[in-house]
Amino acid sequence: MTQRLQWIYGWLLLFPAMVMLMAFTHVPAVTTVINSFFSTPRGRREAKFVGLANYENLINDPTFWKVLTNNLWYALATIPASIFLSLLMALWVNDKLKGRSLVRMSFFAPTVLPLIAVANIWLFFYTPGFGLIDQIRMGFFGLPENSWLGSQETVLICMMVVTIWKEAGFFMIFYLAALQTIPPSLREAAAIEGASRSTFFWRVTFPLLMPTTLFVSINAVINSFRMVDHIFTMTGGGPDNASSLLLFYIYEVAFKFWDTAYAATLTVVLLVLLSLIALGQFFFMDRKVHYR
Amino acid sequence: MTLQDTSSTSVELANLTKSWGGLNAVNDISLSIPSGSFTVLLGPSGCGKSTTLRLIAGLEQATSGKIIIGGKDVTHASPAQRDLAMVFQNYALFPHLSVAENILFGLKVRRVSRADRDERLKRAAEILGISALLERKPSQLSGGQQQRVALGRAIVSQKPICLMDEPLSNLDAKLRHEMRVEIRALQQKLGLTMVYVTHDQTEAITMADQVVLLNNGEVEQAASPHELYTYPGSVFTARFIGTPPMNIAELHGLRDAELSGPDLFPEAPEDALLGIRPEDIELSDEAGVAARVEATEYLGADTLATFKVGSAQLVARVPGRKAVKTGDTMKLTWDAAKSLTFNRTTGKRRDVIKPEELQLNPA
Repeated sequence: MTQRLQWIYGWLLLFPAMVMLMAFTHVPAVTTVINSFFSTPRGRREAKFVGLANYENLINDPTFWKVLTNNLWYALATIPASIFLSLLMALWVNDKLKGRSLVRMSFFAPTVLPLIAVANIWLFFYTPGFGLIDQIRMGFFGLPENSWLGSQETVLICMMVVTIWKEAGFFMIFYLAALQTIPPSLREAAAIEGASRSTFFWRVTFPLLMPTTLFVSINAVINSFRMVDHIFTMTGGGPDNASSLLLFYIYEVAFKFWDTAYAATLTVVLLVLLSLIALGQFFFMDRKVHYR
Repeated sequence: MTLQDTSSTSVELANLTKSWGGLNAVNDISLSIPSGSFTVLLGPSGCGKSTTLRLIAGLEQATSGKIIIGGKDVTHASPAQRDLAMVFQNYALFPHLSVAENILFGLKVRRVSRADRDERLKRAAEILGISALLERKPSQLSGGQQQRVALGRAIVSQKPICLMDEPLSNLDAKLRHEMRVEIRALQQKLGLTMVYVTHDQTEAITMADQVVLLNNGEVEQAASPHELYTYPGSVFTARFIGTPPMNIAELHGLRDAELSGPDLFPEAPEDALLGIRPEDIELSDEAGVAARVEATEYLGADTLATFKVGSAQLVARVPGRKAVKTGDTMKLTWDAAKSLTFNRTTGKRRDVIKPEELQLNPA
C-alpha cells in the first residue's frame, strides 16, 4: 500500500514538469518529423502520407539553397568575429583601467537591450542619405549616398554586424568570468620567468580559457541559426532573399504561406544540421580542452 | 655542487618604502642579505614581509628607496631582469600543463636548448624525487608533490637567488617538517641566496642564517636565530619568538613576592620590565621567590605551569615528571644572568638603549 502511494506521489511530482516538456518540446519535435513525411492539410483535404516527396521538393527549391548558403556565410562570419571580439574586450576590461565598470557595462548593454528595439536603431544607422553611416560618409568623405539594406551585396553583411554587436558583449561576460578565475600568481610566476605578455596569453591564458571558448562557440553556432529577430524588423529577408536565413524562411513557409508540411521538413533539416555541428564541436574540441 | 658563482648575489635594500594610498606597508627598510645565505623575513600578518619580498622580486614597484642585487641597482628593473626565481604560496603551477612542462616553462620561454632542458629537468626531478610524476597534471598531485614541482621550477632556472613566499603554509605539520629540512639542504647544496617569508617562527629559527623580524612595515630586529632567541632586542621580539614566548613581567610586581636567598632581580628602575625564558626558570626547595601555581598545561615531555609571583605572572617549563598542581605554592629561581630587562616606554632592551635615549628617559 505504502509502496503504491509512493509511486503515486512520485508521478504526481513529475507530472507538471512532464506535461510542459511533453506539450511544448517532445511532442512537437516528434510531430515535426512525422509531418515532414505527410502533405499539408488544406481545407477538407486531409494530410496524406507522401514519403520523401517533401525532401525532394526541398532539394529542388532554389530558395532553400539560397537561405542555407546565406546562413552558412552568416555563421562563418559572425561566430569567429563575435568570439574574437568578446575575448579582446574581456582581456581589455580585465586589466586595471580607469572607469572599468563603465566600460564593462557599455560592452554588456547590447545583451540587455531587446534585439527588436535595437534593430530599429540600427535601421536608422543604415538609412540611405540621412542615416548615421551615410552622414559620416557623405559629410567627411564626400561619397554618394548608399542603400545599405537595399543592396543584395551589402544587406547580409549589415545583418552580420548587428549580430556581432549584439553577441560579443554577452560572450565577453563568460570570458571575463573565466579570466577572473585564473590566479594572478600565474602571471607573476610567468613574469619572473621572463615570459612576455603574448607568450603568457598563448601558453597559459588561452588554453585555460578553452572550456569557455567551447561553451561560447556552441552558443554562437546555435545563435547564428536561431537569432532572426532583426531580420524581421530590418529587412524581412529581402531584397530577393539576400538576407533571409534558414529559420526566417521556415517562419515564412509555415506562417505566411501556411505550407506546414514543407516547414516541418525544413525544420528537420535545421535540427539535424545543429545536432551534427554540436556533436562535432564536442568531440573535436573536447580533446583539446583542459577542464580544471 | 655549486651551480653558480655566488660571489655577487647579495641583496641590499636601502630605505625601501612602499605605500598604498598614504599607508606605508613597508616603511624605510634597510637590509643586507649576504650572498649564499638563508634569510627569513618573519613577522605577524600585515607586517609587510610579503610586500618586501614582492618588491625584491619586482612584482611591486617601490615608492622610494633602492634595491641592489649583486651590486646592480634593480629598483626599476622588470622581474625577469633581476635574475631570480620565486616559489609562490599557492605554488602558481599552470593547471593545464604537465609537471615536466611546468618545470620547463621558463626554460622554453628563454629558449634554452632542448638537450640542456632535458638534462636540467632530469637532475631537478632526481633531487626532488618526482621523476615518476613528470607526466601528471598538477591536479593529480598531493600538496607536497605540488610543492616539489614549484621547487623544481626554481631549481632548473639556475638563478642564484631564490625567493619563497610562505611555501609551506598549505602543508600539514609532518610534511612541513620534512620540507623544512629539504629546502634548507637544497639551499646549501646549490649555494642559493634564499629569501624566505614566513609567519611561523619555528620555520624561521630552524632554517635561517639570518632572521629579519618585521613589525608594522619596519625591521624590528635582524639577527641570527640564536641571537634573536637569547637576546631579543625588544619586547615585541621577545614575545614573538619562542613557544611559549619569553615571560615579560613588571619588575615591581615581581618584587612584591617574598624572596629568600640571593637577589634574582637586576638593578633597574621601578617601571622596567623583566624578561626570562620559561625554560630558564627552575623549581627550587631552598631559595627563590614564592610563587603559586595558577594553571598547568601538560605537554608530555614537560609541563607549562603558570605561576603567580607577587602581582605578576610567570610561565615556567617544568620537567614532565615533576608533579605540579594548581594551587600549590613553591619557590622559583633562575640564573640572574639569563634574565633581560626592557624599558617599558620604548619596549627596547635596556642594555641596547643608546645614550641619547637614556638622557631623554632618565631612568
